[in-house]
Amino acid sequence: MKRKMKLSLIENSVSRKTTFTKRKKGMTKKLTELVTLCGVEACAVVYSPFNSIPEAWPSREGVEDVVSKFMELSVLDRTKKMVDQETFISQRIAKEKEQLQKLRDENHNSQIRELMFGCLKGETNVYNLDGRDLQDLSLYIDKYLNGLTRRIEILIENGESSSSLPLPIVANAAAPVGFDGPMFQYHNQNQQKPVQFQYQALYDFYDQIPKKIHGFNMNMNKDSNQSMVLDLNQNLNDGEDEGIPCMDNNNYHPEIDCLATVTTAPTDVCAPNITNDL
Amino acid sequence: MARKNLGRRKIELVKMTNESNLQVTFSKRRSGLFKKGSELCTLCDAEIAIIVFSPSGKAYSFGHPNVNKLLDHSLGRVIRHNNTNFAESRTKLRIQMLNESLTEVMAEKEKEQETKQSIVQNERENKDAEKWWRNSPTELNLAQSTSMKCDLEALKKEVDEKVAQLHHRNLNFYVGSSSNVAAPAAVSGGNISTNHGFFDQNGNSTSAPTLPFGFNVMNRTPAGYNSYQLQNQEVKQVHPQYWARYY
Repeated sequence: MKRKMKLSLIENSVSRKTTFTKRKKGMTKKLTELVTLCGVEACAVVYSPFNSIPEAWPSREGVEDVVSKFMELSVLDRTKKMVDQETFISQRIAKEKEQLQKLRDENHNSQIRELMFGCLKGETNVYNLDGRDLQDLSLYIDKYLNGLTRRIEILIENGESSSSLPLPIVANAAAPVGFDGPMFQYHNQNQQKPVQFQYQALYDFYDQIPKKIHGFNMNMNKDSNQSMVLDLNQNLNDGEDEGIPCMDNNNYHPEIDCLATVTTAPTDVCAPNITNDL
Repeated sequence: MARKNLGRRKIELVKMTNESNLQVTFSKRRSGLFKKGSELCTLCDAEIAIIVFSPSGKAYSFGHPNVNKLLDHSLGRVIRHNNTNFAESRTKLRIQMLNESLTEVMAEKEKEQETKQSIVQNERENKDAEKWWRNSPTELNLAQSTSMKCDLEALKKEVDEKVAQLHHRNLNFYVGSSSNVAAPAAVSGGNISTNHGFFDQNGNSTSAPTLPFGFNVMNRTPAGYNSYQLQNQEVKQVHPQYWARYY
């Protein structure tokens, strides 16, 4: 395979001359093909450090004919499509950058699509993604949902039957464990069952938290110094009333309201509220 | 004419008869020709002028350093000087920088091409598995569309909640920092007092409703309790819907 050439002056003089000869031949060949295929007139003039006489294609007379025709045009027509190397390379860079951006957008869309299907199958966890990917994923799901909605409308208008059940995307055994489990089942259950699922999830949730809290308390006791223990003792002696002013200093009014509610409200009233909120 | 393969096709080297194809071919080949000329100027320090008339009679020209100068030289009106002056040096430097920039852009483009190839390869492999939900929405039936719509709506709800949570976490972080700077002793005392009160009620049957209260306080514990904060984050990540109520 050919070696990728660096776009700069070739240092070696012999190599440069060889490259010049080969590339000049290739360029004139391309010029010939263009003239033959499109039936147009063209010419080229090449000066090189290796030869004091300029080389003309197709011939000196041919060049003079084309140049004469070129000169007959108005200055505006002549310069409208005229480029020098600097301008030509700038135009080429702009075109390449445009194509690069288009390619990046396509690749990003494909990756987001794969991400969406990964989340649906349970292969990818939503909570491992960063903010930008999440927002792009949300937008892509919106567009996909719009397509699906239009598809459903078309199918309903055509009166297609919906009796056949589709294959599940993921088996029930592979469903994510945790609070989302009952919610995921909700689409396939009767109206009576979701209530029970929520109760079960609620109790499972509560069972998990206290253990971690106790563990935290043990860690704190081990790491803290004697003064921390003394502070705890002081709080024990003072009782609950001393704690409330500290909370005021920390601007935790909502939490204080919650505490007050717990202190005054009976047990029977609290449970139904939590259930209704869930 | 039906094409059997999808690759490029060789053409006869005769004048084209199809008008639109002629125009497209001219445009592409002219661009390629100018590109070759530009490369030759860069690599071999040559000076080139190319003039091409389009099928509609317009004149396209490329020249280095300039079409007019080279035409004057070729017609013998002006004697060409070999020594390089200051302006030409500056032009050469600019062209060199442009060439380097072009090389970088093309390298990045090649990388994106490779990424695209790998994505297409993955999609082709997944296609073989015959999974109906990967089809375009226009290929699904009513049951499939409805089922997928429900799943996507559930997924979107999760994603939006996660985005809101990340946003709120950032805000909470700054608020917490400010509060710690303002009253460090009070914060410490408050935490201890709250912990004590919480555990004191833990023995009663009404301990469950106080959980959010305690957790909100503990989220702002000093840096010494990072290990617990990590555990706390895991808990929050598992149950996003529940925690959203208390922010």
